[in-house]
Amino acid sequence: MTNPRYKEKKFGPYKDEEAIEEDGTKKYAEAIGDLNPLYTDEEYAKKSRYGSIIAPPMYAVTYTLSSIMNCFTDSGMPEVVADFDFEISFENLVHGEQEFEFFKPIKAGDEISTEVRILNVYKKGNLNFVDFGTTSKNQRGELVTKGIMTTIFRS
Amino acid sequence: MEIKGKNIDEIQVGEEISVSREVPMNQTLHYAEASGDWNPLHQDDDFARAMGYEGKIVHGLCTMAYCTTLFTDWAKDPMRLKRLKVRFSEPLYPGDTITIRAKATKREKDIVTFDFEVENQEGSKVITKGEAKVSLK
Repeated sequence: MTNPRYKEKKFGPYKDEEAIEEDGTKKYAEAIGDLNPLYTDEEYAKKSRYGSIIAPPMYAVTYTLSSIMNCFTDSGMPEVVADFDFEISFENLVHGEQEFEFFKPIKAGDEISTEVRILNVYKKGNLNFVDFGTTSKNQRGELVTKGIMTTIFRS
Repeated sequence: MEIKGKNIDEIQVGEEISVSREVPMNQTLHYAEASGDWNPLHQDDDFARAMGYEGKIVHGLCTMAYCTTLFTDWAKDPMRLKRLKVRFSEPLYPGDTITIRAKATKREKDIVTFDFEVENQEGSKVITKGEAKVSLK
């Protein structure tokens, strides 16, 4: 049913076009109603153990989702999905589950690169599940977040 | 937002922490601006109704972010949150009120594992199978 080659394939790493900006991480914190001063108050954050403003943990979704979107249009994708008996597209996916592990804080100036792998492909009834694994590192090569995005596609 | 339950220095396995909050009416617009996820399911009532929903729905990842805030506020340091996992089960709508309930299920050295769920005001389970790992130090 599925092509085991997907297990071997690594997509990316995809690097964000722009470094992380404080405006972006602040805006994310405000959008989720999380006004932790470590995310929003420069003076407060400067005196903390982080030394500057950090991004809320879930800011990880910005580079995680863009890297998964990139993997759908990757030149290596057609070969991997050739033997799948269902169509995948970013537009038709339903987001079933999400997992993140957080290793290092993200700060302004960080440049994040994310590698994507397809971890598992399986069926439940007429629904097809694809688990995408993401590994994101900063410009120093330090692991910042890992994610598993479980997506669902209809047959 | 007031967190109910024991604080980080006192929590025991089997005990619960929880928080309730209302989802702002403009939540989906603000979340799209901040995250870049402009799926019309979250912006356009007619589009969402055609997909079988009552109207535009809140981004699941935004609801997940509400859950991170419970744990990072409770732990008093964002990087103490080590892992978070959720299943998106039922839709959440702007204006709904949610309650996030997390139960400490395990403690290994300085890591506490929580199982959690998110319910709306009608008891509909928006997020199920939630799991979080929080470091006590």
